[in-house]
Amino acid sequence: MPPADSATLGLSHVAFDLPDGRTLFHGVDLQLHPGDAVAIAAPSGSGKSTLLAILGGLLPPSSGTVRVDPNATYAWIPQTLNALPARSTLDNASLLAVLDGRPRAQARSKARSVLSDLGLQQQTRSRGRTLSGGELQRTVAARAITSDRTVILADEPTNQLDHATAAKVMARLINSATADGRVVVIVTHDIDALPAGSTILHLDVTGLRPIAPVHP
Amino acid sequence: MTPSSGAIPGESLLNLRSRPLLTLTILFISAISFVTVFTGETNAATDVRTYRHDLIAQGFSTYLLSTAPATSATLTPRDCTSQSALSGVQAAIWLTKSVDQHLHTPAGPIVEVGAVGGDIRGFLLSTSPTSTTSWSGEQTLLDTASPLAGTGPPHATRLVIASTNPHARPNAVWTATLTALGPAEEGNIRVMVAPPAHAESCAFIVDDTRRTEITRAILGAYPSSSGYTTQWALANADDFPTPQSRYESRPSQYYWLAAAVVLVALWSFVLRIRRPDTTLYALSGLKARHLLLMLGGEAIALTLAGVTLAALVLLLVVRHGDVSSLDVSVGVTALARSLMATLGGVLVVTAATSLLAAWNTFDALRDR
Repeated sequence: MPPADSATLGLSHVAFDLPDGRTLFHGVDLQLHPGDAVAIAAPSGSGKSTLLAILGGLLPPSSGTVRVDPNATYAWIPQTLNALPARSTLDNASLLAVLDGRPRAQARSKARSVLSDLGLQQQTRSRGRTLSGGELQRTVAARAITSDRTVILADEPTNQLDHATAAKVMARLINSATADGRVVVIVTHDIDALPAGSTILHLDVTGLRPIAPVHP
Repeated sequence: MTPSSGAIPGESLLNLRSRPLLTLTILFISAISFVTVFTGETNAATDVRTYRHDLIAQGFSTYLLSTAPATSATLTPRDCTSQSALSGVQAAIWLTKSVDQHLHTPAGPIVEVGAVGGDIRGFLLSTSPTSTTSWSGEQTLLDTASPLAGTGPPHATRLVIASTNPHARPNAVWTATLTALGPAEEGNIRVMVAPPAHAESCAFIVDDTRRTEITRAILGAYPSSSGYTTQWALANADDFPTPQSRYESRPSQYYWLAAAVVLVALWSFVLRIRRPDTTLYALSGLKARHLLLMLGGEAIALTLAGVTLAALVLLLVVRHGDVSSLDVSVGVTALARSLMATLGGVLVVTAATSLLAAWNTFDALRDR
């Protein structure tokens, strides 16, 4: 196992208390290195998105330590789907890469490939406002995968997709961890859509513990 | 996150192109607003200038000083001309009592002829600089320079004061010019060899913005208690607003502000429509300064394109119209003021939007 201090993201004894004093979770330990992909599963209201926000630096934990590689850069796949409504799917998918300084033609070439992997090759010229919920969700995933960011934090990235398409998106997300050498964290209820061999962690009030994937 | 400022101009351009209807709407509303500001102020300046010329031509700025009947008070030509030293008096002339004269021959028509002297050229230029009345039998003729009409050297110019009423005294309506007399009239006009010892009245052309001070000064020197009377050549002159007050109360002076408010409100509306875009850019790692650079760049580009379009239209209008350069400069000033206010306003609104978007990133990501 790589040393903890080389981790891109590290959580040590992290706890989070709600404003009413109730503890949402405590004792969360997690070390994620480049190439790691994990899925976090838990019932609604157990703090999955809160944990994601702590990993992304948007929320401070109530206690514990969060360690983030200073060079880490985040790509979010939020639950609240967001795309530029007047711009094409291709523009939306290449947005992060372009903003990060990659030449537009190069970014669009990779975005086209990712969109094709996610089954959106026919929608590359469609405006964001014309996309269905499922198409929009895949466009947002494509935006994260196309980027060169070192961490992808995905919050329920397949909740509007049918099983086959969800499996395609999950596989591409997890593949981007090993292919692009980055960290991918997926918060999901849909563990059936995860590819075989995926690392799945269950979150409850006492912390994270690994569980076996449904189909090994 | 590592956003690059270098990508922002391209994003701005693509965002403008991706909403052509909205972009063109902003562009045309901007151009129309700027055209309205310019034409409103230019027209107001032209209107006031015309109003001022009309008023002055009717005697609004012509102040008359006379001796009251049955008094021992007297006026000399020097009394009149010396008042030109008063600050705000643009020209001073003296006039003598008119007498009936036969025109052309002893059997010719009778006209009233009086003598006049002083700064006649200045007086005429102030009252009616562009009038070109021609000489006719119903005009009062005055010549204060010719020693012997008809026998002396021909004069380049002679004074003709026009009056629609041949028997009217030339103290009410002053439309006049210096014009050459043709050969047929030489030798038939009254010749004043030397200024008279007494003048019947003085006429002063005064700065229309200093009417009160000048009348006070002249009344101080020639009080009614000593037998002098004063009046404006335009009988009810004080009932008219001065050109200055009319200019200062013009509604178009606020057009620049109205245009800026409209354009800033329009841009605020656009920013409201595009709030999801702004949030997405903030989520993508753009800081407030990047958002300001992108959105502010778009606002500046649209505003400058609008003012350029307006300028092109106005250039065509001004070049093919008869507009005074002074009036155009008033319009240009208002246009520049409106442009500055609009740019300032849209940048403030954009900066506020950028800051809010950057601060609200967490809200956009939060589980709902």
